[in-house]
Amino acid sequence: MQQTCAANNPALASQEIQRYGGEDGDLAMNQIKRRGVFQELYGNRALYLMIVPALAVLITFAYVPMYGIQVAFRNFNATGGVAGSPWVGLKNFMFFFKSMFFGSLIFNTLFLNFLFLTAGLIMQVSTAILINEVLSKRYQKVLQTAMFFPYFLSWIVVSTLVWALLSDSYGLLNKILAFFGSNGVVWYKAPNYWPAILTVANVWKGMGYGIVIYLAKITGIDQEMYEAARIDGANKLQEILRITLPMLVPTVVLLILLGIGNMFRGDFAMIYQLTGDNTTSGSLRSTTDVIDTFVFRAMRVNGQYGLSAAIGLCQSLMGLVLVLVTNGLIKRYDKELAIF
Amino acid sequence: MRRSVLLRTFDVLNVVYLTGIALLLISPFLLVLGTSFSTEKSIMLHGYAMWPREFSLDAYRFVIRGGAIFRAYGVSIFVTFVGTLIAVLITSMAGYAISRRILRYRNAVALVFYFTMLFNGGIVPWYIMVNNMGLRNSIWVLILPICFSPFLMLLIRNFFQTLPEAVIESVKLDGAGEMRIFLQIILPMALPGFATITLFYMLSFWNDWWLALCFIDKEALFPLQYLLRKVLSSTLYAGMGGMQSKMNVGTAPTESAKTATSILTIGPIILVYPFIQKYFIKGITIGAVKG
Amino acid sequence: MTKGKGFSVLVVLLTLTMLAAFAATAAAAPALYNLRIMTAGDKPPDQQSVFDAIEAKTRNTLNVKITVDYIPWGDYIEKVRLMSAAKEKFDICLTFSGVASEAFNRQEMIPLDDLLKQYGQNLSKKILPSNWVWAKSADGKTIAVPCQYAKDGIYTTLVVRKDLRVKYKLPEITNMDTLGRYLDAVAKNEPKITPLLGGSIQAAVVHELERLYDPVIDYGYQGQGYFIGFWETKGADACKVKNWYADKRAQTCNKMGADAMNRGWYAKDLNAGIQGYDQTAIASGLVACLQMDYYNFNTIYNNAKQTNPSFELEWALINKGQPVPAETCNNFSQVSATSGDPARAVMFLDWIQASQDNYDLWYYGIKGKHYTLSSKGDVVYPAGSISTALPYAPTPWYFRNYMMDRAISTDCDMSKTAQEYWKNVKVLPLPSTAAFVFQTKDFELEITQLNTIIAQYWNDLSNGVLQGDANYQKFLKELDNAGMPAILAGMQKQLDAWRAAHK
Repeated sequence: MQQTCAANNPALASQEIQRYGGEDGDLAMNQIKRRGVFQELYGNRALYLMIVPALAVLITFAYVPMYGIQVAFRNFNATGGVAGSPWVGLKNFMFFFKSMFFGSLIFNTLFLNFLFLTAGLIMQVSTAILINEVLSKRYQKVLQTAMFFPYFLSWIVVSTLVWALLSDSYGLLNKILAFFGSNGVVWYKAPNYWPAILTVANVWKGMGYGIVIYLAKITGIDQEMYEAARIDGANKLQEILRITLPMLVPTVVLLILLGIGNMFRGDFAMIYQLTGDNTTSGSLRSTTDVIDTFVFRAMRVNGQYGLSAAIGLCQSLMGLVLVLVTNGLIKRYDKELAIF
Repeated sequence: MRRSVLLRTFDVLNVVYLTGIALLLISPFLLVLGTSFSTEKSIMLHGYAMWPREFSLDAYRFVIRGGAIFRAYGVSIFVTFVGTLIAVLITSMAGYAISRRILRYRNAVALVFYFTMLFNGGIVPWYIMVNNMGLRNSIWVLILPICFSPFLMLLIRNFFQTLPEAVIESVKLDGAGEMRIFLQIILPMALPGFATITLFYMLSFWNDWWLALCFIDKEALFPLQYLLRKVLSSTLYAGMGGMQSKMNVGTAPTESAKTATSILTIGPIILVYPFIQKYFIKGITIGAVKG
Repeated sequence: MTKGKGFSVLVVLLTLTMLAAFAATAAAAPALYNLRIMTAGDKPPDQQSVFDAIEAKTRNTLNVKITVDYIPWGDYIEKVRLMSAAKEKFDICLTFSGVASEAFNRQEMIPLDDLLKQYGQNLSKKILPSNWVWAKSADGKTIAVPCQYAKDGIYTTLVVRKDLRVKYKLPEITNMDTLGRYLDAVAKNEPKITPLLGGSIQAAVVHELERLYDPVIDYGYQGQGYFIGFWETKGADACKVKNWYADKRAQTCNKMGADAMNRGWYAKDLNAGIQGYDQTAIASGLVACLQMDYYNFNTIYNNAKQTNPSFELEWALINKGQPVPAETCNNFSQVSATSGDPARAVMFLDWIQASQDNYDLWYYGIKGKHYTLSSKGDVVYPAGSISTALPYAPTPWYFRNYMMDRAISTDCDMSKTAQEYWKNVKVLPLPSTAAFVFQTKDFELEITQLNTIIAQYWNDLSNGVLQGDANYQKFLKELDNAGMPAILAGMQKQLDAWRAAHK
């Protein structure tokens, strides 16, 4: 009886979830799961219809062109096009795997992305929380706006600024170091500093973007919770640790998962501009050359699309594996935190 | 209740720390701003400066010459406005739908969307397809290919997930349809989320030049970023002395033009940001809905 | 009755004949064709009036309506490649020495031999055979039309501060010795000025080396500006492919670079690649000597006049007066495989070279409206035209033929002198193996790896940033690891095969 009711009246079914909650809620969910596909689609048709416009755009501009993935297995020429160019199997992939830089490219890509993700996360979350604690709302907005400006500067302009900072003869940093008696460093010839330099640049650029997300989330937290905690005698630090941070966890997890999916993709624009196309200043290659800059250089020898497609496909596959693993692990902990 | 000494110390230190960070983040921008109003000569002699040693509007005159820039602003404003409207609508609808726990296939749908963030078919088939759709040289080509971002959909889903299912269901029992619930209940409660993706979409439409590079030849339809990119690239190459005709581009203000371009890029969008900030406020509380 | 019928038949026949004649003449003048040209750069003023003039002028012959697509420099190559891949229609595009053969191999551009034979008489006449050499595919097909620049000594021309030279009572700079003295003086006495902007010494060095080392050498492959293999064309080791970096010539480069650095001629983070102030550096007083080509003398000169009128710039050339080796062409025009009428495209390229009037129309604009001619035949722009706003300037500049170029009256003296010199300089004959093109198809991985290694080490080794024999040996070892032996062997094999086929 209950089952039939649940199947025909979604509202009732939800009521049942609310009533049962917890494990029993899952019980009700199981009963709902036994509904057929069409019943599910029809029963929630309003919601499924709300997905349709976005899906239409996605199918048109993302899924239809996916037939182009086959280019990774072809030697692309203009006459043959996507489907008619000669098939070469895994030859394009071998180019990357047989390269003597294979190990260092993968390491640099992963290492730099890891640094960017971690440092960015820590800076953005902490700064958002601290901004929220500022007493004057107006000054909060001023700070937020100020932190957004780096987003508007393109890497081309930023590279000039970085050079003005790090140049050996004209740079500001060496002048400051000289003031303190140090000899200064020839920054553009010292590869070991560059993971740190790139991380600072990446965090600097992305601050505004991340802060917006976290601040938006923080403002959505129910004030009653803070009041209740204060009545119980919690101090500020405990407020932050026990209420604010846990409320931010879903967003942090989402952004980490998304970041993991892109782990194998280097931030080409930034690295290319800041290191001056590390071909020219090849001295920085050992720590700043990532998969994408290598592909860019290879495409200059022979701009055959199959090559970039193959390496892109590898990056996607490797990212997918990482995401499947992490997403699966997260799901075990809390289903709602996972992406899918 | 007076704030304790400890708390007040914290407040002061907090403001000092945050102001320091804000200065670090904004000073490069001020450097670029000041340089854009400098003469090329002072830049070559003294480098970038926050306060121009020799004031000049030459860089702006050089970049704006011809006046095509005003039309480009118009194009960009239209594209941003219309594009964001469409984008926020379809993204929030989809994000809301898959945030609902009663939707059995929500995770499958989420995967379908997320998959395109990992895999793409490459630029050639996408380019061919957009051409075949007849979108070349139409204003819609600047809007449609980027009017939906799976990332922003996942982001707003994240905002929706904190909304209690209980409230929604109790309203549904009163007979409200999903769309009405969405517009009348969800929207006010998730204002910060909407504001966030509105801002991000506006930025993405405003900053795009790639679509114009690929699909627009008609000058009347050049958006701002593309126009500036063209000016900037020819300036940079002239300055580097590419083997062009003996075109005598000797007095091109390279460095100041580069910075002036950056400032012009920002334009109206910076006015939008404080406007959006208004919506980063607490949404209507749950209590209000329940009551 | 019959008489009337016969008469009508006659009328019909006459009408038909008239119609046929009409059709024949209509077919003789070609239909108007929309010629689409791709170029990098920004749209200059008043292009349309010149295009209209060309359309009017060629109505009965060429009959083209020209449209030009202007793509930003940084995106140009990628955009054209994408258009070809998507089979989008265009006719002529700008291309560069490495890109041209790759585009041809991917069937994006068409071979031009037949079309040139039929429609390209002026091109074949007016562009020197030594330039056509660079426009061939590996199997000898002509794949592009070269842009014929004058020898401009891009690798060897120097601009120095005459006022500094005079200040320290130094003689004119004509060889490495006098250059050295000038740079030493600046290094010692002017702490705020970097004597030499990056990379310059190698230019002079290479030129000097060519004088010091006989016989003539040929380079097998010059991708991204780096040599890989080379061989001597005369002597005991003729046509034996060797590693350039292991050769004494490269080692001399290295020593001269180290010497330059130790004498304080360079900034320490040379080759950072983000100098920013490249050509303007000398006008702003940051460097004392700059390597460049004479096309940009006017740029420098105007900059200096504006920034620091007290600077006097002069042009210096190591081993001035000596014959120079033939230089590769850098710019070419190619005809796309997607062109609707390739014959028309070639006819257009030919038309520009066909007469001085045509050339002037394209390059200087409409006489009387955009410019006038002085008594000497120099181009005179309207008074008050500034260089960034000429009345007209052709962005598709790459149809240039320096023999038809006119001097511009506003050119600075330095530019005029240099132009005269390079117009009349003696050019050494091309090596006998110049037409050989190395096929990179099976060596793409090795070449990419080599380019990476060379980029990492060679710039620094040849400019004294990295010094010492240990570093040099490390570099050679990494080259071997990256695939140098395989490439040398491959190059040798192809060279031998080519020589056998071209006895």
